[in-house]
Amino acid sequence: MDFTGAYSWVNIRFLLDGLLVTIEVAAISIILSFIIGAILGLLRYMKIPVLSLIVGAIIDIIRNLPLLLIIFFTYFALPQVGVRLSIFWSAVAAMTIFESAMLSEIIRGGLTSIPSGQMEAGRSTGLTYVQTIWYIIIPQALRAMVPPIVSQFVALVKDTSLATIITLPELTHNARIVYGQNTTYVIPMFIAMGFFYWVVCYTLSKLSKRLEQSAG
Amino acid sequence: MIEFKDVNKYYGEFHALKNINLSFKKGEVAVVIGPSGSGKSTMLRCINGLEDINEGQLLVNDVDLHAKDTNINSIRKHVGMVFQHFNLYPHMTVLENVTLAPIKVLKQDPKEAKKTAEKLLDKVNMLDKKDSYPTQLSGGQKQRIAIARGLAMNPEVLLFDEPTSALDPETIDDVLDVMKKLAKEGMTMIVVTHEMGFAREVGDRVIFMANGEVIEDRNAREFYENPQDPRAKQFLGKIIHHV
Repeated sequence: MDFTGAYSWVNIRFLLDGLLVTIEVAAISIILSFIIGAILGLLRYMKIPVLSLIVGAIIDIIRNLPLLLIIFFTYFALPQVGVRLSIFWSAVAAMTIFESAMLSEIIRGGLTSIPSGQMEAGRSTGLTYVQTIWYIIIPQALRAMVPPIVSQFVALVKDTSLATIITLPELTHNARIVYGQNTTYVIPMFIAMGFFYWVVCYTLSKLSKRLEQSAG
Repeated sequence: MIEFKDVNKYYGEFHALKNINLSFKKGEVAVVIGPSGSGKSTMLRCINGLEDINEGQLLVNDVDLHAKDTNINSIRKHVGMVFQHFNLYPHMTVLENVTLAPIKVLKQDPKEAKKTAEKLLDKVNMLDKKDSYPTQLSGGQKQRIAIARGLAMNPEVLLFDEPTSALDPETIDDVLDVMKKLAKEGMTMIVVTHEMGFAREVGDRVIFMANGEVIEDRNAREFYENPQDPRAKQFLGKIIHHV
């Protein structure tokens, strides 16, 4: 084990470059999948004839596929039908597709958990269906949704490491390159990776605690 | 102002309302009683469109509630509803609960809505709790706020769906007092309840329902003193024994 060699400034910078890619992919995917997931979750919750069924079927299919398969799909299969994405955007697309489906179910679950009397009370005062969802259902559902949504985000951050397989230069990928050059770097690199993932995920979950308290 | 003409409602095979013919006049206080499953709540919920009817006609202010071109929201503005389980919005303060619909539906100025809400909260003796959240209140307090919320839309009729059934006994009177006050002010009220004292004191008529049918529809005092139908007699016998 050679910690001093492994943790040379060049190596650490290389890891930090990887961490930055990890954070970029995660952040973009989190934002996109939250927006898409919210729309899909709402559509499924609102039980619009045909549309909600179709949305539900697509969500269920995606949720039951391995994320790795979706990463392969966006990288290898999409170019076959003329959609060419860079490695970075293939990874973002795959994460977004998968996480949107996961989040949409969390969001639908949160909305469904609000007792039907709330909808009735809103409607009985003359609020429209959409107004009732917006002013009465969503604010209450959000509180129930924050913890599962954040754990999904944490899972997303960790899952970016799967994109190593399509050579996305993220944290795991770069750490592998470093210890591939010198076997005495293996353990130090795993410690470094563990530390960096921990810092990002722990920060995220701490942030959510704050969010929960302010929402509660 | 409200008229049921040969109204029928089914839940799948179950015939929930059978040929209902009823009319309610302005300023009237009607008490609806009957065993559970008799269709009384269903009948009430039809009036503001929370339940749909399958056959017949239901007119509210001469508007056919189930005609295709009827905007249900415009009817609901005139029909307030108070629920058994209050259904206050837990994420809003008492004041916000009362002002939400006037601001969003009637487009009232928020300051104006707040003033009206404070008057109404004062009327139901809850003004001191205007900044509390519903979870901090007792059932009786919540129900009085629900009444204020209903009144805030300045409805022509207020529907009550077993407003005291979920309350602790000691808080029931506070709610009934408010309801009696409204009745005496001339509010049109249709009340599903087993509170006989309320029915006798302010009820203009009692509608007794069983198995989805209207069995008796008479003056309240007459009904309690001399029920005609054996089912009504049996039902009254049961609730009197419990009091």
